[in-house]
Amino acid sequence: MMKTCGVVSAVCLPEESLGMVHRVINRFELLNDMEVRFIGDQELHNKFLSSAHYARYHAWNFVPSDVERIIYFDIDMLPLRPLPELPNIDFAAAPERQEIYKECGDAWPVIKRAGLYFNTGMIIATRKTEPIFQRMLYKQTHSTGCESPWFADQSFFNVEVFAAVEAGEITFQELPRSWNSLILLDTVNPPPDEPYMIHYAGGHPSKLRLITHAITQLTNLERMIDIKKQYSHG
Amino acid sequence: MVALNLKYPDVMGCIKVVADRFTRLNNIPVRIIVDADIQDLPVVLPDFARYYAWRFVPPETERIIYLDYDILPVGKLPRLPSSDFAAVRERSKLADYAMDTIPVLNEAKIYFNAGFFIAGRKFELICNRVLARQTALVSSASANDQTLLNMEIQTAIRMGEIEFEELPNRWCMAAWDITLQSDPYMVHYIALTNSEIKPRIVSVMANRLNQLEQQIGE
Repeated sequence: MMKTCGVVSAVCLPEESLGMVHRVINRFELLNDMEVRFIGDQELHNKFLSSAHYARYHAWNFVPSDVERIIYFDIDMLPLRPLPELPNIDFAAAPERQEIYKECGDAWPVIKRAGLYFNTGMIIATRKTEPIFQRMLYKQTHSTGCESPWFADQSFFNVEVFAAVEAGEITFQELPRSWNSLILLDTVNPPPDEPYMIHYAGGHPSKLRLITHAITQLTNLERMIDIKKQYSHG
Repeated sequence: MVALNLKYPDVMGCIKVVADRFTRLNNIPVRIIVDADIQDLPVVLPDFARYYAWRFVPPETERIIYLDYDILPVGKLPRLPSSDFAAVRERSKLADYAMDTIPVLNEAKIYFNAGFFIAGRKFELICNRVLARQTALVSSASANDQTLLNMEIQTAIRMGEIEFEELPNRWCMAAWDITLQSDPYMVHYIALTNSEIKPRIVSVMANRLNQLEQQIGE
């Protein structure tokens, strides 16, 4: 069994949000029976590329050396159900909205050839990808990367991953949308029937409050189910 | 509930999920107002559709509960108030602005959110007044139907026509008011985005809560 660790970044958030951040982390840990490492302002202090969007590039720097696989997720994701069996592949992510793929596919041939543009809110990656993460950190500090300021970090990530896939360095798998459901932004696809993780991307600062409240409700119900099971078995 | 001008076909299904959850929790039927309902009526603006609510409920109905489609019913509502009109206070800059600029609201010291309210038959008269006056009142302020409703309600209270009750925040808590300790009956996804696709996220939550409650019930 591959040793897997969750990674989450919560950078540039107000102090009072940290309690809510930990609720999200705790729920992910409980649902998936997996430890989660947290990248906060302190962890990125004195590092190049310390902005919130680039925190994920540092993911491998904050997990123990024996970790073989990471699941990175954004802090605006609600872990709704336990994740199913993880893909046995070097890099896996779920697609972005189609219009972003079209725009970025026109700008970068490697994305067009890949036929996919993934959202970086949730990434599953094996140790084999560590050099790619390091390469991205190096390149991003030495250039502005790409022209689209809105999706600069995500587009750069896509370009580097697909370049590595083309070079035969890593394998890639597209995850179903239920793994990273961008249901507030995606106006083309209806919400998946049973999403594992809901990504509140594109929302408002209050989204962390909504996620936290949802976690409380879900946890209360799940506890009642556990108690009922114990009672019926005992 | 009101579901008008929907661009995305799946959103109606999402709204029905939320309405069904409300019905199941509270044993109260929900009527969704759709485009076909209001197309021949004088005021077709989506924000104003709520004031036609009485047209779409059976004539013997004595009380209505109006809900915006971005509200998640979390738990069963407690005993409903018996006053003519009850709503939750709005806690945003919009409320401060309205109370600073409109004398009747300034004196009332309250500005409620129109996304959720409980109203008796006497409220029908006020709905008709809001509809009649909205064409005469041109305002650049956002949520002007809500401000107009607040003004009409406060005027009616002054005239001794109706009684008003402010509901505690937890009856329908806005996203920005939630804390780790909050225990709301309903959550208003008010701050997330102005998009019509909010029912998608509300319905996904409603579905999961339904599923877990069913497991407890089995």
